[in-house]
Amino acid sequence: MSVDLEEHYDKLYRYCFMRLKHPQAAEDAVQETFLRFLENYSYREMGKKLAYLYTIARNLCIDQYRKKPEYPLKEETEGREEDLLETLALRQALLKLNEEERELIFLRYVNEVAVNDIGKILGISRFSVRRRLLEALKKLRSFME
Amino acid sequence: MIGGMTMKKRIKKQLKIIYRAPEPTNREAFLASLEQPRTTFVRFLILQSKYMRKWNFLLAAAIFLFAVWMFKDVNRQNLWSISAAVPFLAMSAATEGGRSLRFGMDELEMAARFSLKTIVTAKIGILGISNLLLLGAALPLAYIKRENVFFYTGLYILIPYLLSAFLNLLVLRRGRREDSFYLCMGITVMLSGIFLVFQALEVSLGILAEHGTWMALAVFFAWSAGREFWKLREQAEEYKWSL
Amino acid sequence: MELIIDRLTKQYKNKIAVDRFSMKLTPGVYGLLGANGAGKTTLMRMICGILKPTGGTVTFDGMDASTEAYRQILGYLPQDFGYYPNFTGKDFVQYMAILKGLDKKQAKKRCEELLQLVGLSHMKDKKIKTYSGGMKQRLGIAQALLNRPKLLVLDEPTAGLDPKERVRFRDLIASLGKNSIVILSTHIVSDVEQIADRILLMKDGQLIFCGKKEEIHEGLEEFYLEQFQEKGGDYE
Repeated sequence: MSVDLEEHYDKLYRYCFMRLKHPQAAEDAVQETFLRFLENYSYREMGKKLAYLYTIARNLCIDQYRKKPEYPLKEETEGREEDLLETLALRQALLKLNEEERELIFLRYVNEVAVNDIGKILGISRFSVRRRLLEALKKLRSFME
Repeated sequence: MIGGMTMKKRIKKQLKIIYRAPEPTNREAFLASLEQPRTTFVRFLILQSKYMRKWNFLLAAAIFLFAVWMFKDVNRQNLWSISAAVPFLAMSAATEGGRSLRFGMDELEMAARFSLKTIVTAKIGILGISNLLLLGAALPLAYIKRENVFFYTGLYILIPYLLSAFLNLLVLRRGRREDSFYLCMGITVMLSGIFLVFQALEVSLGILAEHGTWMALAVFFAWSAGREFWKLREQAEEYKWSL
Repeated sequence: MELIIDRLTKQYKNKIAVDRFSMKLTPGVYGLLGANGAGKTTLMRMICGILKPTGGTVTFDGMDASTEAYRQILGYLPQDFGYYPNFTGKDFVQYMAILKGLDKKQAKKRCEELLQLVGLSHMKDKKIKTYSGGMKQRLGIAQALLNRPKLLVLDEPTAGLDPKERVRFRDLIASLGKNSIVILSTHIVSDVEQIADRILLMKDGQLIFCGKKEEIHEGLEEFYLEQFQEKGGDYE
């Protein structure tokens, strides 16, 4: 149980951080997500009900962004110089995508969420998920050339 | 196309770098607070049963069968044989509770959620009661013979059991950890020996049937055993260290 | 997260083992140093709620040491412990897991995790009888961590460990000290020097020093020796 829980925690934390850009806010959001999830389901079902888990997190992030000014948007976190240089092109390309496309890319390629679940989270069909992912990737590639 | 594949992989790798988040600060504590213990007390009892020594159950079964056989062929003197075997059952139940102490697991058990007190109670309780039930199950068979059933069961089975339980628990409560077990063994063997002597000498304790004397005796031993058990529990709650 | 020890006292007929010990502890590693007979083990037993104090209280975030709730956040490694005969390493940790209230599935997973953490995975199906002293000690550490304790009490945890194991242990403790309260008692000064955030010095049942190691201007060893000068050869 513990290994799975930690993994879920870390991934959701990454997700919330992606959206809120603030570590404390992200952690509060993850913990709140867990607690809300556990009101209705047991920790064992986190794998099965992943989409629900993310949906809770997603909604919390939207609310927090709206309501809590004490979590100011931080600048992009500092990273190692080599990393920053290497990823510069991609980061600039990402900024040219819209928010939904960025979220799709993140969910699929960073957190490795299944296409089915992404569909449930974003409220679109599996087919749409795949299609939009391909389009987003194509765009990124073209921006980077 | 090959170029596309490598690029996709590169993109994926870079994405993971870009979206790396700082270390969460409160993960461990939070997750720990979530992991509520889920074992109920009943589950705990069942699990404890699995850790108890198997020979106790075997002995109980053996005595039960022995009793059944004896009752079929009721010869009052043979019944003392049963009485000689019964004390070991009581000893087993009593010393089961002392196992923690004997093997040095007591301190660890005391600090766990299910405290030593609970464990000792559970062990002795489970065994003690199951033994009694098993012995009591011999009753219906005796009833078939329509003799003075209660008297027989009481005298030949119950009293030896309760007396043995009382003595063993007393030793455990008062003794030091290393030799307690051997003392219990010694006392039990002695008790058993006494009953064998009764058998050899063809002692008849029929007088105990009068005025339900045997019942008073049984109650007295039961009460004594209970008292020792209770005190033992209390003692398990706190470790008594001598300086 | 706070452990409050308030005028904790343990008095036996002719001796005071712990004398009005008071302290507030927050997350970090606390090294408890003292000569044999200074009262360290008695203090630890009271902190673990297994020995009733004659005076004073121990509370963790408001929970008294005698409650079940307190035991749920507690991990304890006694100075000396045994095991039921024929137990394998895995049996032992699983048995303790059940006692701590984890259910079967939780227990199994957690046990494997911890056995790996202390480097005993390869020995888990072997009887504890065959273990070396250091291995048995590591097993003890593993069981102490089963319930992700917020309060970890370790009585002479490094006794019997070889230097390599000791280093590994120090790293483990340092990481645990980030999010929980770790109290470890030892007479090996170097251990405390390396990992403790704060040093507690105990003599004749009393707390005679509490502070960061930086506050001790001389080396810890000298300081320690100095404190116990009167007792001459009683320290180690």
